[in-house]
Amino acid sequence: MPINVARIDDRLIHGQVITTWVKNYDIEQVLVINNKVANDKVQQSVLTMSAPPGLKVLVFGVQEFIEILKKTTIKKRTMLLFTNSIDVDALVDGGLSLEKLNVGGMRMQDGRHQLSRAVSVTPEEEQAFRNLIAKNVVVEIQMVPKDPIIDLKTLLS
Amino acid sequence: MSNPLPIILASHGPFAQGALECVQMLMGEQKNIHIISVLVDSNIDMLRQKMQSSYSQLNQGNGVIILVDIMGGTPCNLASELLISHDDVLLFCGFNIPVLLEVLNSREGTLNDVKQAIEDIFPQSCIDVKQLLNVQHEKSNEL
Repeated sequence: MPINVARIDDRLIHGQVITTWVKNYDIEQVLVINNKVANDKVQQSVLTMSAPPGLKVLVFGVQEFIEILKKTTIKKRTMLLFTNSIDVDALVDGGLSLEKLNVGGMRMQDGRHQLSRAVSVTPEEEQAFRNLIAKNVVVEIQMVPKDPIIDLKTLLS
Repeated sequence: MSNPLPIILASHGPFAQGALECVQMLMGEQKNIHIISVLVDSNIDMLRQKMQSSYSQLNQGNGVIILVDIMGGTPCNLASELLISHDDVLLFCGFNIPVLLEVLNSREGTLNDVKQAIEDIFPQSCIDVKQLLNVQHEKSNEL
């Protein structure tokens, strides 16, 4: 199954994603996996509209996408976009095979502590990262492809 | 006489702030302009609130002009949420200094006057985001 990039980025599709990741990896479709956005028509319209011509954008809830994975083979060059590690962990438990997870941004907010400038986690989100690492997923912090990669494991105490 | 239309300038990094300083050097101090700078570590919900509250604070009943740097970037996406949920927002992306000067010179009129001014004087220099709302996207179920 060609998942070419799986990325956590709480801004979802935005300048960095469109100008670098989508181009560098020749992405044909971006699948946004997020329960909140799956129920928000305004954000969905914006995501679809903001995509450059030729890039397909679809939004799914976490459980909805687990069901889709069971029945569908992904054929297009695909980028998965998440806003947090808990959703990724749930999806891997639900059958998504993932070798590498790129972490672009989980910005500071109440209840989170900072791991790096753009990555902050709640205790639950930190645990989800630990779970993913234990399942042999390589978790790398990298905003844009030209930035140096930081192995997230090295930031967990 | 109606009040000049308020403006929100939003960009990645300090571009919007720099653009405002540039035009103020040319035209003197400008009122009713809010700047939103999206930084690497800005929280998206805080930015969304800032965009919403700028719109509410600035709007005097005749609408708000929003100019952003690039299509599909966070400043444009947040402004697009306002565009979809309010009918008195004019949103252009890809703004530059000549366009901003023109907008400042035509903001005594209506939103439509400003739209016309941008499109007549600088055709194809920036994009009216509202026109993209109606573009049909591929709807197949194939993944």
